[in-house]
Amino acid sequence: MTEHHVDMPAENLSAEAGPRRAAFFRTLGDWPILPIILLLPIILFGVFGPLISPYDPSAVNPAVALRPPSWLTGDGLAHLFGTDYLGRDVFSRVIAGARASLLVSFFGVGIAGIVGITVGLISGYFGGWLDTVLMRLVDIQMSMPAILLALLISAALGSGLVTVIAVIAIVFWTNYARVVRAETLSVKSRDYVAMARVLGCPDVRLIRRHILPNVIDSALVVASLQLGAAVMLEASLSFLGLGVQPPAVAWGKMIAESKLYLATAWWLPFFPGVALVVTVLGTNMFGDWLRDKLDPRLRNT
Amino acid sequence: MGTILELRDVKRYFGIRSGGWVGGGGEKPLKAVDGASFSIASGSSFGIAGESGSGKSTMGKLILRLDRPTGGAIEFEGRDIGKLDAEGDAWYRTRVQAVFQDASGSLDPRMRILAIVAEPLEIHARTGPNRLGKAEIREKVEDMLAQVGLPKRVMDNYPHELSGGQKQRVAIARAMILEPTMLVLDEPVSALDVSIRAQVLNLLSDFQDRYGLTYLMISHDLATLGHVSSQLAVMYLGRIVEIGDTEEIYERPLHPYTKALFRAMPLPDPNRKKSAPSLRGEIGSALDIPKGCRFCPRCDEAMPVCSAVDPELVDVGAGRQVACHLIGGSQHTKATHQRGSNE
Repeated sequence: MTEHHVDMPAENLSAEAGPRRAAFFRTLGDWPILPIILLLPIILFGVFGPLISPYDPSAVNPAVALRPPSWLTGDGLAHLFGTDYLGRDVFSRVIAGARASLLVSFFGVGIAGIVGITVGLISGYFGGWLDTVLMRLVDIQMSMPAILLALLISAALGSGLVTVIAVIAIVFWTNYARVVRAETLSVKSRDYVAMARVLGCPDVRLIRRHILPNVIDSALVVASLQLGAAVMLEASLSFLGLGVQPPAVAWGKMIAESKLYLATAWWLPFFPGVALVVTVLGTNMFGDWLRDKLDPRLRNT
Repeated sequence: MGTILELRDVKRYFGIRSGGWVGGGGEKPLKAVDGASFSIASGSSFGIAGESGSGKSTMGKLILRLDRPTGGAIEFEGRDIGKLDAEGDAWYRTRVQAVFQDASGSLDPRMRILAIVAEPLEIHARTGPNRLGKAEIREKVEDMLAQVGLPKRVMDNYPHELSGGQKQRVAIARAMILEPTMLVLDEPVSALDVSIRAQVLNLLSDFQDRYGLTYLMISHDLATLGHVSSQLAVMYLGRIVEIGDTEEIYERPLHPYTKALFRAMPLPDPNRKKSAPSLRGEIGSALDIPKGCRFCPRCDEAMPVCSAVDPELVDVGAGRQVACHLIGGSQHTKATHQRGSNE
């Protein structure tokens, strides 16, 4: 009797919440939940790093060198991700590394995008010898290994944040150029472009008003997919010692520094590695979501 | 009424490479338009009929200056449009506008209707002495939309939010907003539902009455052309085979190809007997035009001379011209003419 009495309101509640909850999840279905969950901490780390970070990421403290994560040894929250061979807090360093990764990948991918989109538009729209020259340039660029190119550029510019951004921009603009050129060729043959010509629309206006808005989607998808690749490249460069210089911190550099301790202190490469994987996975999933979202065949339904 | 547009022996050949690619490859032209001459009287409606591949759309592109002829000349209001400078081009763009078949394709999917209809004004009326402000442009767009029978509120819509007929009305509004003197209509109603077609055609004919517009209408649909155009040119494989007054051609088509097109036309007459198969085979290739008369391989009335000599357009009176040995007045075909007309 009493049991039945107690159950009643609970049943009513769930019956009422059912459709409301379904509606809530339907609207959520429109949002890239998983990418947001993955990327949000990284972005917060990057933007508010110094405010969150429990220690100065470069503060050396030999007394606590090579401590494993504190929650494993029962030391509470002292060093969440452990400490490295100089006693620096790994958690604080992962947070600091997010800033370098984000800076480098956003600026690198952004500059690559501006250059690549411009080249792609010009190449696709005007065609002819200009197209041939620009696309051969892309081919030459693409035939060179990124790491080799990075070595060359850092030999010329010296290593550092600006070099890494330059390398990413130089390696990645070709993808935009190709994608945007192909899209431009397809958009150029549409009737509304012919119509704009009939209206006497000058070339610059035609590209800006009619072609760019119709090819920008693909470029955005390329950008989101490349963010992950840029983070990886930054890590590779830092690993090789071509990236940011101390006291700045980068995940790739942290992994590189942990080489000697791989067998004894697994947390040194593990946490920056996880941060790297989460970032790349998050941006890639976001890119996939964006591609589906912007696909006109899916958009209008 | 004067002549507004005149074509003189207009040709458009496309270079297609054939043969070896280490030198020695000859260039074989694709003859999309192969010597077309006609003139359109100001304020009239001129129709161009033909199958796919007849060169009628290429002709439209040449007249719209989307493409340049490889030979001949096109004159609009007395000016050779092949020799226009920048100022001349701007002038031409405000005088001649177009409406294409696929309304969804001819409206930029990323622009709102207001921006689409206002674009000609922004290009041509934002500079110079009679420049327009934003409010004036908006007012003009509103007025134009009202004239094509669309409510004001569609201005904030995107093209994909409108129906096919509405989109075509938007395209017409955009074409009309600069008050041009001539419209090139390339299959303007072919993509529309039959019920909408009449409305759009009526709208076009209202505009013609109101503004004294000249229409050049390109279509494969003889029924539509019959309603709209006063003059008609029938094209086959890049050449005009019959040209004249639309009503007369409807009453008495002379060229075997024109006759075949009329036989192929569906008529709402249940008692009509299905006549002999209207057209054999497919339109030939513009890359490999048959020797002699280009319609000869498909013609029921072909004679020996047809596969040897290319017939010229010949005047047969009342402004009608036909390119056929059966009708032709040339000495060469006189002998066989009798046999042809006895049939």
